[in-house]
Amino acid sequence: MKLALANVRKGKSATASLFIFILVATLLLNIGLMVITQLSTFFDQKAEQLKDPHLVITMNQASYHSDYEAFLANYSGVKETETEEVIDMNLANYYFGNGEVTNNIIIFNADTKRAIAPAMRIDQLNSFSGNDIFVPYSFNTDGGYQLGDDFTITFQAKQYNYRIAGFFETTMMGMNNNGVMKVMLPEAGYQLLSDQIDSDAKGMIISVLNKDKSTASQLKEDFIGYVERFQSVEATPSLMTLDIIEVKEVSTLTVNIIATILVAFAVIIVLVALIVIKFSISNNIEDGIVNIGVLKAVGYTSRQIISSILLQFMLITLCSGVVGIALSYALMPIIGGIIATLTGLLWVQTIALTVNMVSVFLVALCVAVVTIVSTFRIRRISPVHALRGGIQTHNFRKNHLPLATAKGSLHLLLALKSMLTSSKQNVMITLIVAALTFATVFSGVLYYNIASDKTAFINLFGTEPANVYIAVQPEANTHELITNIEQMNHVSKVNIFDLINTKIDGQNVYTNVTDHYNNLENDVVYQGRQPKHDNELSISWVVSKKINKGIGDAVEVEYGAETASYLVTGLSQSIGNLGQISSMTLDGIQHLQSNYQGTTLYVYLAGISNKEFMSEIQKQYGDAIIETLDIDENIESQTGMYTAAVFAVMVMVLIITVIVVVMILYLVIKTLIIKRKKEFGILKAIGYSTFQLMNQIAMSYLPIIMIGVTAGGGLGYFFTNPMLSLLLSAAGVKRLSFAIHIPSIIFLCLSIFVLAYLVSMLIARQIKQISAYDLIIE
Amino acid sequence: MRIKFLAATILTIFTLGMVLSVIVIQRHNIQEVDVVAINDLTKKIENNWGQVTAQHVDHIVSQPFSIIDREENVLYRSPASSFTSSFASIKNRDTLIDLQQNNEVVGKLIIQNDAQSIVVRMKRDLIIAVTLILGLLMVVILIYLAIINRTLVKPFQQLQHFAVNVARGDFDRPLTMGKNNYFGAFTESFDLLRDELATARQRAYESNRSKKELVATLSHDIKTPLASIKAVTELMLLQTNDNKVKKHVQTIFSKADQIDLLVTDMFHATLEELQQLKVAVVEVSSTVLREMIENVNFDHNIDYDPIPPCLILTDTTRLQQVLDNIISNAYKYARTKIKIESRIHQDYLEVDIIDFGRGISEAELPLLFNKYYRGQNIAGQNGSGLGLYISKYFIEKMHGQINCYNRTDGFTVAIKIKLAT
Amino acid sequence: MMTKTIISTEKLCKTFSSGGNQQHVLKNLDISIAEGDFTVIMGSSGSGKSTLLYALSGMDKPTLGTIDFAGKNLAKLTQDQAAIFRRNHCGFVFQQIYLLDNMSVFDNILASGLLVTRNKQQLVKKAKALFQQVEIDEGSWSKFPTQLSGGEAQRVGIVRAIINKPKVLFADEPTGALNSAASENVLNVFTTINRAGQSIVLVTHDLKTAVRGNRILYLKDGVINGDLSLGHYHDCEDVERSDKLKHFLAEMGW
Repeated sequence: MKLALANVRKGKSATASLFIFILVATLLLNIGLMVITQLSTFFDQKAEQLKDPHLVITMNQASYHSDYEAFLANYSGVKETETEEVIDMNLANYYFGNGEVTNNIIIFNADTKRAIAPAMRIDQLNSFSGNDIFVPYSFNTDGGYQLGDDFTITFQAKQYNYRIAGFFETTMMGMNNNGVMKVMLPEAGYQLLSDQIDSDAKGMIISVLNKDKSTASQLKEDFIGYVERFQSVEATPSLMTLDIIEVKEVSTLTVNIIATILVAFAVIIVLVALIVIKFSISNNIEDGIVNIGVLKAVGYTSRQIISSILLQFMLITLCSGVVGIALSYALMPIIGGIIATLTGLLWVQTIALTVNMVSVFLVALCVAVVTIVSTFRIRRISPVHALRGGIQTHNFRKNHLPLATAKGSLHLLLALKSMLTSSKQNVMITLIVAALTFATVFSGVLYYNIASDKTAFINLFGTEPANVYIAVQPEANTHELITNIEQMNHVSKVNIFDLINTKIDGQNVYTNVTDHYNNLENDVVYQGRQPKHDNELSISWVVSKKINKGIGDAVEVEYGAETASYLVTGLSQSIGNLGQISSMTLDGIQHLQSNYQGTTLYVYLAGISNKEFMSEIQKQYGDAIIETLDIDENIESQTGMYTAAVFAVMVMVLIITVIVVVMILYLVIKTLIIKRKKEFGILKAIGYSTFQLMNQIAMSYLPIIMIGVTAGGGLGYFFTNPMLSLLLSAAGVKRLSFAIHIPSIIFLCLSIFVLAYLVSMLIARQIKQISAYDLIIE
Repeated sequence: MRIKFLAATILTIFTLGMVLSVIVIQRHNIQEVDVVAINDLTKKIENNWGQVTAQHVDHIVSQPFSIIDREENVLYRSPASSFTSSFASIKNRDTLIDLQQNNEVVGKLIIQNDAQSIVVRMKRDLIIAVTLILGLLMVVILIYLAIINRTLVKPFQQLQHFAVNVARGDFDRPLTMGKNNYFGAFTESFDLLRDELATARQRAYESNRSKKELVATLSHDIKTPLASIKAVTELMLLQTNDNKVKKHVQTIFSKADQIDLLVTDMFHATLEELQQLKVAVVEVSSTVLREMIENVNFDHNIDYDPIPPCLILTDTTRLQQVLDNIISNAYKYARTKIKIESRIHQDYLEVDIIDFGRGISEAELPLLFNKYYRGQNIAGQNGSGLGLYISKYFIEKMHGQINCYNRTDGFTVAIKIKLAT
Repeated sequence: MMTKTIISTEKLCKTFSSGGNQQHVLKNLDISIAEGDFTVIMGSSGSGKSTLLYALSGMDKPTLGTIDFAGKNLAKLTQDQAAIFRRNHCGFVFQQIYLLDNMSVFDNILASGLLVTRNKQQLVKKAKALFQQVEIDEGSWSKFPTQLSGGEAQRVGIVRAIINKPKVLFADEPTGALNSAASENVLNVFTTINRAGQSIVLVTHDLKTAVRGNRILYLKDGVINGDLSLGHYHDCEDVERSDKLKHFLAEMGW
């Protein structure tokens, strides 16, 4: 112990750098682990806390029957049910974030007493007015609304103006990607709207709270079956149902992506830190080899020495680990804010002692392993050997570049000589620099894909990146229209891309229909392939999980009155439409409806603005068209909040990377140069000036750093994508292919290179202060 | 030893459990038939029925396959496929698929079954598991080592250092005790011992010092009556004519003088012991003189050239006192600018402090360094007359010399500081 | 014969401070070294011999005082100026030899020589001649310093030191790490080159080494305590000479 403390005191700067690396490692590891562990329970805890229903069913008031509630109430496993009147605007438009979105808005009466989901308000105005409205918290975090802002709903070509009087938290109907948004009006406003509105929009909502929320899906199926049996076949009411399982999957997906990116990044940095820790520990031990010799000579056993060294590093690890954890708590609010943006729920930071201990433990374990590996030599080395300055670290079989014959300037030759003789160290530097470059490229690629070229990220949502959407009149001849549009100027291609409602093995699924999947830009299938033949289809992983069928299984598809069997050929990924997507060919759907011809066209443009084209097409084929839509704008408003959140994370990641890279480069190069202090002392004694030595240092390290940078850049280029997909598949993202922008990678690599050069010069300058005498005498 | 045994047992059990569970988990893995590819193949064959070529069907499925018509004539076979009869295929668990044309079966697609074993992968997994367990093992050992060091080695080392400190006379460092110290009482008694030793030593020092102070005061006090005795005897010496009496008085006078000298010596000795006049000579760079001069250069009245760089023998605090004294004298009595000149001469650094006042009379010069002597020009200036006396005392203790002389334009005090050799 | 002074110091002091403690290693030294002399600095360990040597050679700066070396005040040079001064005017031989162990023997010489001259052929020729002079055979030229014996390595060190024809060759206990046979070899090299006119300043506490010098300075507690002129060394049989030295040292309390 005493020995360990003495060592710490002696190698102050080495200890300090080790301290910093371990601190960074624990900090990032801890943040990553905390986010991952707490996130998985976060949604459930919130649902419980808010007393949100596990299943909501909305239907038209006309088709409601009181037996329904009775059925639910008597269903085994149901704890509570509640039914109330609501106003259901099934296709309402409103502004959210950067654009206008269309969603189903369900309006509750705020003054009705309710036991389920009593809507906790996070924030509200003190004064009330006649047109107050309460909206979910996501309107604040993503929608850009503040208290007191105006909020306009457009429904059936009428505008309803409100003032936002408060925000409330909800898990069930609080996010855009659920397709349903819950808002609340005070009694007076509610009655007024109720009087104005069409009776079709008057709905009933049944909220159900189960004992076990995992049974919600089963209950939903049974209820739908019950309603179908209850009603006559032709009057089957349109039910809108939402269960907590599916909501959770969709709501937490993006957060999981971000958390995973964060953790992946943390892991990379931790790895880099570990390499550096290994480096500094071996250095430390090498420097102290004479001391070890002395101790051995006095009679200490190898075990005693090793345990003292181990203890020394464990001590440092513990100290910096604790500091790192404290720091991570300081950083968590920033991440909490991002999570709030993505879920519309307030993040509450709790203290996770177990996780903290695990982080420290993991880092300590790594440090211990590294130390023991590094100290291995101590066992073998004899005291005499150690006293003489240790093991010969160099291997001089060959005199590289003999000065008498080699061409080139003296300093270049000397630099190359020293580079060629210390191969072991070169490997270490190459490793460190490569790891650093990889980390930088990794975060650079993430940043590039999220901040400047968002295509890959947007593709995650399963949207087809066409430019204009055209809905065709059912009577019109779609095929003819396609041929016509294809011949228009500036049109690069046209695809049929329908979205219809089918039932696959009894589940309601949104099904895409197109004739050739090869023609689409965004291949949403991540495993297997899109359907090619008329008896094939692909399903999203959400559907796959629900019906428990995978590639190679046959499924029953029901559309209209027909049913047919199809073979699943691929699994796809989509975040929209609750993630419940399947895809079929046009031939395939014609098995179910022989005259099916497709009613939606996706048009890809080149060299013309979307708006211009839209007015052009209205002019030419207006009678064959129901409506046109600007897809770009739509995508922007739907994905805006995700990109914003991920952008924030990326900025953070990039900043940390830069700091870590600079720090590590500085410390590593410093250690290296200090190790060669004696050599520089001799050179200085025989008359080399500081400037000449600086040049030599630069020239001897730059080639190695260059190799490291190149290796790291290459690794980043080839492995960023595979690594990310591997990691994100756990988060629910099954397919991701980020664009790798080569100029920016080259730029990053060059920056690291230049940075390394500057740092080595900076440290080499410090040698200037030391006289030759001090250098050689030590 | 018992702890060790315990740890070993736990580890063994732990390891066995891990290994067993890993082995149990890694057991089954059966390759599935690629239905999608087969469907693709079927569809392609049906679409090109009658004119199937390698171009249509190659590389869709990995297994070899054959296409036969209703009469079991082979229409196409992929390389490496070996169709004999449909029953043979069934026996081999081959996949048989009906090929249809307008809802009518026109032939069969036969895909051969190639069973494979995949045990190799399991071995690799096992290796990973074993490595993991070894890692865990190591951690436990680490913890164990740490415990031993903390509970046994550290307290002993502490005790050892403590003993060394006490032996060296350093009683100020207490012996700290960890909570889990096995030798609690033992350690505590050691610490008590240290405390007692420290107080005893402090007490001895205090009493010694007070005794010396008493002596110093007394010897100073004795001087006053002694001065009276000397004065009276001197008077008597002048007044009496009786030779016998004169002789006696002479004796009294000389003895009083002797007492005076003795008391003065005693006074000095005690003062020195009390460190009031102690001079500790060290070697310092002559650059310290610059600082010393600057310390007293309040009104920038002092001009001085750079001090020649060398190493001098001096006691910096005392030398500062001397300079303070001389310079304040110059300020007080000359009230002119002061110039300081310095040079290296032989083995001395000579420093001359020069003022431009009236100086003092030649007669007084030799008396200047006497104790309690104050010059004639002191009118209106207070002082004890001790300054130059002490200065001389200090400088001589530093192996230097101090002198003073009048110049035509002022007064100079010359200090010679010994160079370090 | 009028000898020229090549180095002279005035009140040379060197102080090391660690923490609050100051240690004066050299005290007010006034020394002059004559050209062509083989000056030996002796003294008990810790007397400041090496410190003096490194101060005289511009390797380390004095704390106080001046050093006049070939018309330059070394105390006033910057680190880089001192480096350039050293490469042109000083050669060094160390007790620990300090050859660069990542290059061959020959390259060690050239790394030093190429600092001053660009004429590679001539330098190589000169190096070979010097190697022959110090009896390093050709087989060792391409070896690495760690493969040489101590005596060989030290002779290589001497070659490195004199390759640039320094005004003064400084040697710090050159035989300190060698056995007696190897020492004798190395010392003969010193004597030879001194006879050829090379000024040498050498620090040692070894009698056999000291006897080679023609002037002995005895340093004690940072002060020159004695200065003995011995006259030139002829051979080891010169008993009177070594007695004179022994007597001097005894007087110095060695």
